[in-house]
Amino acid sequence: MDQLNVKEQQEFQQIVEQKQMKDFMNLYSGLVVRCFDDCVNDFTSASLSSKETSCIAKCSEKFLKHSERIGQRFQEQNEKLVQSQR
Amino acid sequence: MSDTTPTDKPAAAATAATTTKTKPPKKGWSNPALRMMGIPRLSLPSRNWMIFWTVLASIGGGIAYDKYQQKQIRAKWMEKVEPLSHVTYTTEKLPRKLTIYIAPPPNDFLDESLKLFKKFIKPVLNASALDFEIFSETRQGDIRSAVAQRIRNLRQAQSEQPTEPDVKPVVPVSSGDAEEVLVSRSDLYKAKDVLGLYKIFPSEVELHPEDSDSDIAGGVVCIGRGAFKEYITGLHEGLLGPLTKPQFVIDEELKAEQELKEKAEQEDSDDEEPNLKPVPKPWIKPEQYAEASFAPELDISRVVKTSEGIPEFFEQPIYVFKVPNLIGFTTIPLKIYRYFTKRWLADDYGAKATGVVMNKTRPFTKDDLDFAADEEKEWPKKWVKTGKERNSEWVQDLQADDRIISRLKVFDVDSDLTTSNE
Amino acid sequence: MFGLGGAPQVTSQQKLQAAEAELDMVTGMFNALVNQCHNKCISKQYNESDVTKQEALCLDRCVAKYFETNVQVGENMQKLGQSGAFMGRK
Repeated sequence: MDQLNVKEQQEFQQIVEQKQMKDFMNLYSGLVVRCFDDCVNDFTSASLSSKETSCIAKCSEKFLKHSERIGQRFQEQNEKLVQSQR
Repeated sequence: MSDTTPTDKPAAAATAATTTKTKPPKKGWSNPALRMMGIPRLSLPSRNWMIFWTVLASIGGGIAYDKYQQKQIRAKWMEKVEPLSHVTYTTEKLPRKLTIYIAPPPNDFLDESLKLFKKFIKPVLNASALDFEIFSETRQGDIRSAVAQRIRNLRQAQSEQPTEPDVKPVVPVSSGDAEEVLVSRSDLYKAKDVLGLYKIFPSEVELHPEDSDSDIAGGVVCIGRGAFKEYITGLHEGLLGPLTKPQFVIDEELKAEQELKEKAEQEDSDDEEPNLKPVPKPWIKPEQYAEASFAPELDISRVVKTSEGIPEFFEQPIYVFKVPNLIGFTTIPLKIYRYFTKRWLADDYGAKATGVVMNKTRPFTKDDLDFAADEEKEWPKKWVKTGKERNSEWVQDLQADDRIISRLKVFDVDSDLTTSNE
Repeated sequence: MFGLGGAPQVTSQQKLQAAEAELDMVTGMFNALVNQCHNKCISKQYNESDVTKQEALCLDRCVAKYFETNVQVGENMQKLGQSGAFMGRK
């Protein structure tokens, strides 16, 4: 079932690339939601205050570092899982 | 029952005439306002009640005070190490990792040692953001054989290494000649290929454990004298012992297994199958230490390190926590005394755990073999006797070889204590 | 499909669909992890833009535990499925 021939491999690579792009957009929107939720809670003005701006900057940087670390561990664990299933 | 209160029904019903004549002097104090509100005369309870309440209050107070102090002390040590956990940490860094061996106190459950660890050591380790891994045993010998096996596995891996490179399965690369070349899709991609995260981050990060550059790293913590004895014996067994199971061990284990089986058949009443295999016997005896060769597979001219550059666990510094545990009827007074002064133990443990966190070390000396040795004085005599009959390593004198001792290190906790203990 | 000569024929479309589902699972799991571990480990104060050691250690453990939970749940489901506890129901 999971054996792919050459043609399918190429198609598969394309799918992988599409998925990565999609996941990237997903990450981006997730980041917006999270930082908006955590930083912006005051709606007395229509533009971001300086406090909110700096909070968002920190939030997004921290979130990316956070997901980078998660990504590392995820790869390690995933490798382990795949190895154990073989 | 002398203190009849004015609310008593019969007293109220009693004729006023008698009370005016032989009015017993009422104890306590009151005033008209209180009387109007129906509050009885205030007086001290009787002597017996006084004794009861005093005893109860002092015991309860003693327990509460001790508990409160324990919490304060724990908080004090946690606060001391907390700044270490607030440093910024980049993705490639990995925290220092302790290996913790926990053995149950003699004739008691593992829970006793575990409780001490959880209450007084773990909070400090967590506050300082140290990683740790716990190995616990419920039977004597498990730690020893686990330690030895770990070293033996390492030695085995070392001796096999040169032949390894071509074992790796060759992933069939799709050469253009045929459609028949089938590739499993799990070989075609890695997790990093689908994660959008790696559109902005480099996917390969070279991990850099915190202590990969120094020769002093990690740490081994033994909870209880027995755990320490087993750890040291395990080191000797792993480093000096043979790689394959010697014949005399096979014989002994077969015999032990048979005995277990017979025992199980005799005690048929128990439905529970004692399916525990007998504890593996040591593969080398202390008398043989001197003539054994020191792990020829390992390059012992320098500190043996893992692939990540951390010294292997047997090269890491050691610390032992004493587990004060009393068993038996006659020790009850001492047990009670210790129960009420547990805060001292908390302080001691906190200080030592902080010392371990601070990571100062000194070389291991022969005297360090007596680490927490005064714990042995409290071991139940009967238990020691049966242990000697069964040849348990807990009750024997700790034998050590100079070649191993010279490699070991100890956490230098005391030097730290003097500076941090006000 | 039934009894018509050995292995069932799978079209390449089916294969690719299965592959896609697998990729979705990987990304889905990763995103769940990022969210879960952010909720559980990262302080929402945002006093600094770096991950602290405490948080880093928490994240490491969080990922490890998540995978362990994943395996555990999978095993449990398999066990329940095999025991037929949910199949016999009508």
